[in-house]
Amino acid sequence: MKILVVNNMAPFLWGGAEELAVHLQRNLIAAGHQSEVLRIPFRWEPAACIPSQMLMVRAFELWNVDRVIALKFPAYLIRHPHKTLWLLHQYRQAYDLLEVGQTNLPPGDIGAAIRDAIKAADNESFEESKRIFVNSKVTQTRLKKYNGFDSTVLLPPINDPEMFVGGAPQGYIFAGGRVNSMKRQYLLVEALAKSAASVRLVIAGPPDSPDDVLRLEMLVEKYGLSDRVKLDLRFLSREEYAAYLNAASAVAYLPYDEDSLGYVAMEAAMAGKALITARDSGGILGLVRDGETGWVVEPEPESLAQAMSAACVDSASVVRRGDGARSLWLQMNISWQSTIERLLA
Amino acid sequence: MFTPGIKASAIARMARIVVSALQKQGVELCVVRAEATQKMQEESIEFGVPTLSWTQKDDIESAIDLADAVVYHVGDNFPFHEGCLYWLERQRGIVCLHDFFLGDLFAAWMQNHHERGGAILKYWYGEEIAREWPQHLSSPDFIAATHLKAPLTEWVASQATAVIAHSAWGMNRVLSACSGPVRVVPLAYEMPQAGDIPDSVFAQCSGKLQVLTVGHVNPNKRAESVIRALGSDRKLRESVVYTLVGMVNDDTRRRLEKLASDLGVQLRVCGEVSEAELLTLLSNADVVCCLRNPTLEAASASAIEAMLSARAVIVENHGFYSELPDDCVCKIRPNHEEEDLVRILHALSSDTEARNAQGVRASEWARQTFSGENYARQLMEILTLSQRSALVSEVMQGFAQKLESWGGGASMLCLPETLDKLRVFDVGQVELSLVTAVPDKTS
Amino acid sequence: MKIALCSSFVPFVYGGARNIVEWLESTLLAEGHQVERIYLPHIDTPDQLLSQMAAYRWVDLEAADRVICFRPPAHFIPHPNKVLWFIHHVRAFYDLWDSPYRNFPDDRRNRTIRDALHEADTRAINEARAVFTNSAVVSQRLRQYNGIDSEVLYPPIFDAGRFHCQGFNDEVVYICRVEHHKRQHLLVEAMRHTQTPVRLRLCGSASGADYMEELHATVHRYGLESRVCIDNRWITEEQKVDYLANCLAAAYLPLDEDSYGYPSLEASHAGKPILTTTDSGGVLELVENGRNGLICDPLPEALGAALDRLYDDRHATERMGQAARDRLDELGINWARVLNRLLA
Repeated sequence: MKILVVNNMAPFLWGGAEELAVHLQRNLIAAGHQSEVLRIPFRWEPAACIPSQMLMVRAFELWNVDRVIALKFPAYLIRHPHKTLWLLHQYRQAYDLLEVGQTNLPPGDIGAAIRDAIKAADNESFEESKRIFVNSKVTQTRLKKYNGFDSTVLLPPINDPEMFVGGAPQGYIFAGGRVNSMKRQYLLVEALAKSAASVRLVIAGPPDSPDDVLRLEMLVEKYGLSDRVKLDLRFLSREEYAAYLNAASAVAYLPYDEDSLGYVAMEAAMAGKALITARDSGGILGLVRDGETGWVVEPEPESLAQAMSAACVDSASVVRRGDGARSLWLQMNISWQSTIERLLA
Repeated sequence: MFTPGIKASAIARMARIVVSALQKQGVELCVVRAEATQKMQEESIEFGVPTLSWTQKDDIESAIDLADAVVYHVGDNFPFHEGCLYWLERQRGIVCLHDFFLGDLFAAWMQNHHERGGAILKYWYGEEIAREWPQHLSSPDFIAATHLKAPLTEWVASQATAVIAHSAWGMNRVLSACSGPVRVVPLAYEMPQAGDIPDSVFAQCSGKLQVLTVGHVNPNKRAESVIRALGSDRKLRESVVYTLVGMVNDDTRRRLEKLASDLGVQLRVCGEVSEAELLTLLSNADVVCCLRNPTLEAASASAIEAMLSARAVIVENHGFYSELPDDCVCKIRPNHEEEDLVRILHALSSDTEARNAQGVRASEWARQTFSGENYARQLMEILTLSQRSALVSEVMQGFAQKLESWGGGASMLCLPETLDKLRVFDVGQVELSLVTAVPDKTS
Repeated sequence: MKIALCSSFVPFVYGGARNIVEWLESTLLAEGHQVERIYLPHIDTPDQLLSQMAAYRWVDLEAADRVICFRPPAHFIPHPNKVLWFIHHVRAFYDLWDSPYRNFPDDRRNRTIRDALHEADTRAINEARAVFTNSAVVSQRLRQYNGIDSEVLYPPIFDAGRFHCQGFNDEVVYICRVEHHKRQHLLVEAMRHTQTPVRLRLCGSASGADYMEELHATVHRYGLESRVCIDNRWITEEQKVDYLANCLAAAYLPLDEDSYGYPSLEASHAGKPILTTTDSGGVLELVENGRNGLICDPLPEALGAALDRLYDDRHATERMGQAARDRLDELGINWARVLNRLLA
């Protein structure tokens, strides 16, 4: 079949969704189909641009395509008789973020009109889609709450599972992924100050801004932890990243209320590493069961310190939990093969 | 082509010229007479093509189906243009706008469409003006009171797929209301058959300067100013005979005659005359005074006639008249009528050669500019443009409808972020100044 | 610089326009630029023409320093620094209006759409700071239909260094999609009229089975099996380089194509002369008769004679092959020049 993956494009920026789209394409081809990715430039700032962007997508004409798999707003507004959604993102600033005042929609009539238009266009697209998949329970809940549509959770698989072979724990907690205040890596440094002396910490990943770097550096200095913390704040190659992860004692990932499971968590589980997370981290809680696959604690230094210490000191426990994580992960059967089968069913 | 069809209508006479020019260019036509039923008994024009009257609904609907385009000649006269209004609502088309001021037309139409009329006034001019407008209806100053604030140009222009007007001065309102292409085209005009107008030099039996004003005698034509100007100067009083030709009511006639006699001015009030008599009077005239204040017409048939007859023409420097070339007519300042008239009449009476030369220049220019052939050609051009613009409208409509279905509507479409990028599809609102015969594209 | 390369595309249809874009992308990346490739869908039906143009109008690429547009209606994308490398018009509404390629009626509505397209195209193209085309043919059309002057910028092939000359055997190759429009049949018939042992190799996959069958039938009918080899498949790049390295000459004789075609360029890089015909179109901007190839009448007899000539007069053939390389330099067909012009 000729399957077109349709996604947004923020010109010259490349992120998780772009990676996902490319891997989806590759795996579709591996499964014997033809596949291309259509990336549609989307400008949402200022919000007054949004109506024109919606009309733009709606006006595109597709030919020679058997199936469309669309990922985001407004890409999924594209017209096609056989459209499947794998919803990574609605335009949250018209929904849940609007409710908490974190939106670029202007106050007053125009903002309300744009919001209404987004919702109506969304509903129209959802109605005309053959199947709706979502990338997390949170997305699923929001979709039901704001638009009234049911959907099936389909977690995005690890793109290169073969990299995560695991290995003997080397006595450090690994915190991978983007570094910013929402991801709360700073809590780990504060927790380290209260942890057992043998606990070490590696924070490695691209920082969103220089301020994020500064914050961590200052905390390390404040607590005098420079010999126990490694800050490798840049974009890592897959090999570098996998190396850190495979040799860790446990992996810490504790963002604030995130939709999805998080690649870091999945990759950790794949590698058989125990996970440390917080009660309010969101989607990851689908993979972390306190005592079985890792630790779920309060998002504050004392509790985190206990988990981190346990992970580095009690090797039997951390290995058991790591195995548990891997076992749970494999049970979830989240692979590209199974994903594609479900997308195309 | 919807147009009045009776001889009494200057527009009807003009339409005949256009019909004939279009035929020469290979266009097939059908004319629909638009005058009110009670006027249809009057002497009518022979267009030389199949002719219907606007009440023949079925025939007209068939004709519209077959037609490539529909054209409406609209002027400020309800009895002449009733049919145009009826059909324009039902079938959009190209409007040849003969008057920018359509207050009288609107007032008469509104009598049977009271609510809609009110809504139209409110939409274009706001609540306040909409409320006070009806108060002016009964006043003799209706035109003066309303032509600046509520000329009703937009009401007709907004119904058109394209507009041709005959001068530029009132175009702003047309541009703001018509979504299609808009053009200024010099009025098509032909002097009635009379043979060559003899040079007036030999015809003066009285040796006096013959000044003529043609047209329905109303304050708008400024006869009083001319009389006062003549009366203020001894030389002019003695050497000028002022003739008024055209319909005049008794009150006005008495008043002007008294004024003239009080001031010692030689005045002749002829009333309505036949075409032949009019031509004779024109040929005997040395100067034609074609003053208008306020200026309402898109173009003036009488000014054009005067120019075509190679007379020296005096006009006021505003509206259509300001677009006439400076070396073809004499222009006076609207706020200094008497003062300027005295000066100009002196100049014209003293230099016969210059006066005649100006007349010749005027007639040359008028002959070239106000041609039926040019009008027909430009009408065909704007037809093509309007078809394209209709196409673009269709696409815009599609987007508007999509936004509507999303609860957004016109307000979303009109956001500059949405609309500005689409300017590349503008069919182009072309303006033409009277002085050039070639369209000058402005964006 | 941040450069956006914009083109229309039909999903799963690959061809010339995509190569130009993707090879340019690679070249720009190698020069250290940031490149974003934007392919947007488009179909040629009259009723959807204007709305799709509007859609392209709303594409926002302010993030780019420069935008380069290829296949229409990509040139509608607004940008203060827009450069066009104009490959072709929506031809059914232009030069192919009076041809069987227009598969919609010539009625008033479609004519109005056509005129609206011409007008809008002209405006949008005039927004660009520079307009380049891929051939003189396309430039001439831009002038004729849109009144716009443009500069011809010949598209090079990627990694031309692969092509080399190893020798001249006795086989003329035609490496190209096998289609009626490319006229492989003319060459096959030409083989009947040869006197020398010159051989012919056709390499390429066919889009339809009929034409291929026709070719085989012709070969069989005239007993040309030992002299004509039909490689009905998409050969690999390595194989192509190999065939060109050793062949006697390369043929490229499509019917009236706009551009000279990559096969001609590949042959030139391999230092081989090009056999073509008087009505092949863009190839004639590249080939000069007797200098870097042979141009003959599109008739089997004439082609047969040309094939013989290539075989007989080895010296001339080799000389023409060398000249083919020189011609590329003369016309400036290289990436350095392309970058230079596009980024000026």
